[in-house]
Amino acid sequence: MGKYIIKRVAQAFVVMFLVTLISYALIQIMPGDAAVIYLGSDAANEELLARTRAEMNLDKPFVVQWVLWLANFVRGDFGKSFHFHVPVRDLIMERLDITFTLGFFALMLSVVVGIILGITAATHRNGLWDNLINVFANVGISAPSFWISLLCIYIFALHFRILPVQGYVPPKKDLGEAVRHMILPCFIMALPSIATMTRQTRASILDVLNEDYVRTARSKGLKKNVILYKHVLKNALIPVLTVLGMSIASLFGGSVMVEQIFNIPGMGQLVTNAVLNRDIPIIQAFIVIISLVIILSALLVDIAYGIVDPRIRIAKGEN
Amino acid sequence: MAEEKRIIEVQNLRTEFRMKRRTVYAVNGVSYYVNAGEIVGVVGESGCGKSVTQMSSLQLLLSPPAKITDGKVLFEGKKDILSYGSESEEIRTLRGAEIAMIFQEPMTSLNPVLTIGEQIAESVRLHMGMNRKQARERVIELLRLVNIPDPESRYGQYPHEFSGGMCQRIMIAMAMACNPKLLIADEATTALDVTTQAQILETLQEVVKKTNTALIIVTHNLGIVARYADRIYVMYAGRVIESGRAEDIFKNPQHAYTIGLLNSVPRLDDDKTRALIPIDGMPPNLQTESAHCPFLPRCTQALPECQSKGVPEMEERGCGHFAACYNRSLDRSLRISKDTLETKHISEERILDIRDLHMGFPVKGKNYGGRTTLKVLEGVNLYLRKGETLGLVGESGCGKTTVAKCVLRLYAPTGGSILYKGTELTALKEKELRPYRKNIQFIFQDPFGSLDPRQSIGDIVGEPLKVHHLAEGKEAVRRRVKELFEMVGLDYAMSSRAPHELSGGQRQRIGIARALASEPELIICDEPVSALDVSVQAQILNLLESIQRKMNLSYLFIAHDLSVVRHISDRIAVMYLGRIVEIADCDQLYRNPVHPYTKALLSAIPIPDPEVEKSRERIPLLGEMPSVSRRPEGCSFHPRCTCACEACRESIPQLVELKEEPGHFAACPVMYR
Repeated sequence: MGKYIIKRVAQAFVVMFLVTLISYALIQIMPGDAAVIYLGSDAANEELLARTRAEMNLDKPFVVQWVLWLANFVRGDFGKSFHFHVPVRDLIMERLDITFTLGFFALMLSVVVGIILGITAATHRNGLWDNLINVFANVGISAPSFWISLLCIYIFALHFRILPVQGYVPPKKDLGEAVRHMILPCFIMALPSIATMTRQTRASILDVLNEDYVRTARSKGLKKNVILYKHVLKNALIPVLTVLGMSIASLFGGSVMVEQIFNIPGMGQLVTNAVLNRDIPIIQAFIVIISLVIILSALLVDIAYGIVDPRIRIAKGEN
Repeated sequence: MAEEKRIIEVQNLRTEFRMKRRTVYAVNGVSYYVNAGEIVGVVGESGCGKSVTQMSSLQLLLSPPAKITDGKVLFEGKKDILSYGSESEEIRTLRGAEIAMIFQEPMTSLNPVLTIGEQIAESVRLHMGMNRKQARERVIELLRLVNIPDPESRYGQYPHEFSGGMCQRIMIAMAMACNPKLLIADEATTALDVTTQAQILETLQEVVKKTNTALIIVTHNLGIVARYADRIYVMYAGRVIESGRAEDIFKNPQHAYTIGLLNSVPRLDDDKTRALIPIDGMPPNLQTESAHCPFLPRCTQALPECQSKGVPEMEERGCGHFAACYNRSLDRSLRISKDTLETKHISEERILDIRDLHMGFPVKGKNYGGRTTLKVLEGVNLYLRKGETLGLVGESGCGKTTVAKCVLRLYAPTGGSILYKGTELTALKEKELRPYRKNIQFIFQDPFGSLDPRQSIGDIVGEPLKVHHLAEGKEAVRRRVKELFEMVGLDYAMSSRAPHELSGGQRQRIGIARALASEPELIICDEPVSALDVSVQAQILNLLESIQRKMNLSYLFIAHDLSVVRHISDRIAVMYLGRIVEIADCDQLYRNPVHPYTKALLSAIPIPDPEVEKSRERIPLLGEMPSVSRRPEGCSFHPRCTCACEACRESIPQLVELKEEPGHFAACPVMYR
């Protein structure tokens, strides 16, 4: 198991390395000179332009630029925003915990709700609950989330007036208000992954219920719930873990739109504006951070596999 | 059976599977009983409702689609347990505690994510009210009872860390955990090697007799019931068609189907000239309730009244012997000789000559970067004459298939030589090998997995013709495919079907037709009948034999079952852990086996005749075959051998010809004395 983890961590490092290379290459790929974008109208000043380019290492060969940029990045210096002219680090740090909080609760929501709905559907196969949950899951997967957002805002905020329309309140300021403001965005973000988790959980429970060892468990005279929670669920959750890993990535993708709709000052909003303003350092930092999150979550999923499935624990350890 | 204590009595059980468009009547009024301490065998082809009957009595079938529509199941003469709901408290206290089941696939019947100790212990805690510590002790005691070595440390291991045979022992321990009154073994040994099968069944028999437990053995293997069962129920099309004491059924079968089964199975004590008579056709699909005897379409001994009189009832034919057959004067001549007119022509020319074949696979060692070689074949010497069949026999994992794959050059051997008509195959490059590929063909074990599911069966058979340019033009290919279909007894009208539309036997015929397409001289048959039902086995074996005579083919016939090999082989080689331990003419080997391993293998195979079985000496085989990575020093077989001496531990015995029997070679120092 230890060897398996070390191997996966080493792989993760290689992937991260490549990600930084590609995201730094942005500066070369994007049209226009980065220094010109940074200076805006001041770019007419030739001397200033040359100085800025030297400051940004743009006069050096690409590989050197990348190494210097990477060295700074590792130290926590993500460069200066072209648009705001302040360190990217400060901009991101302000917003990162907002997005992470949102993402974390959305993730918890999709795991808990998804698995519970999946179990309910599987145990009531072809019954009323199964059909209702199926409809819900299909809507969650197929309906565009901006439309669901608008619908929810209309119902809960405008019609019943129980939730705020938009905005963000820091938890330190007013916890109750903060929670009230988080409910809708969290739910909207989580909806697609709740739906996929539900469907995956249902499908894999139904698969496992047909396995020979479930028949063995029944022939032992075990209670239905013992069979379900002890024998079936642990096996059924293995494919659900895969889906979970993929959900984490899509949750962050979803944050970009949800933050725009609900006007939440998070990473998503920051990066949307950065793209519009061609604010390359912010985009670079965002790519690297998102990749880091995705790679870490994939790593955690792999480790979780090993914990849940003893076959992987042994087999991967030996390889 | 001094005191007749009824453990279970099933009356007129009916089970249906209700699917969307059709209903399958799987069990149609089955009645049987089992007494304490009795071993009862339930036999029949697959799809005859044997397992469904057993699962129905415990209400283990998933409902929907299964529905028990009628019948009673009386446990210990008391209340009908079918009247309890399938998940009721009452039936759950019976399951596992009073009636326990052992299933067919031991590897998939254990939960992969729970330790085996916990899987047995949970049942002990539930039914016997033990706490964790007591349960652990009980489990260790049980594991010892079923001969699992070192039970304390294996308690915490997971199913994948055990071999198939070990998993089945664990299943037995689990079933025996709460001292049940009835044990049901549902094809419990079908997936295992013959030697393991014998070990498992001996263990079961021993445990059952010791504890006076009733045992139901559900199997398609007539030999097993002949060896172990006191009474037998023969099932066909969801009905019991004959029942009685084992001796009566085998000596004096009263139903045409029972006779058909006995005629179709190869026996270890057969004369080589005995013909296997397959039962043509397939069991009915049971989607309609039949108006007459369900066996009628396949019956060769039907009378006019079979057609007119409706389904026959069970009638007493002797003391406790019942049968449902109108024909009272059945032809019971079980041993019919085959036509000896067509004699085989075996020339002295060696078509295949394997000399000192070695095959090793590089594997990663425990340490990083460390590589070791897994030596699967350790100097195999074999030859095959033109027109001859050589049977290659051994337990799974002994390297039989590896030999075959080396001959086909699917593996590049690491040493030794393979001569095909004097040409060294191992030295040839891929391109130079191609002309030989069409001469050496292969028939696979699994008729389900070895055919491309997206090609029509006509295209599958026609493919070799195109690859080797044996027929030019569409019309020529079509004509040749038609010829091949007829040769293997298939209707060419089926040629546009996909493999999944065929039965197992038909698929294996396609496999044979494909192999024959390129007009080979040598066919390697890797367990071609082991996945098939007994009645179909006989069809395929007969087909292989008749084709051999017609086309003067040579076969390398790989099997783990010595009784199947006997029928088709001229010579037999017995393999153990990558070495040939005995090789002899077919008659010599069965009459006078020399190597202790051969003797044990022969002894492990039950003969479908209770009288013969009673007088047979049983040679137990100790333990399991080790993995090739832990090959014992000296003679590989010595740790399992009952007559191993000091010399066996020290040096590897060579194949030596027996003085009194030329052509009979064995590698055992004990025979020198």
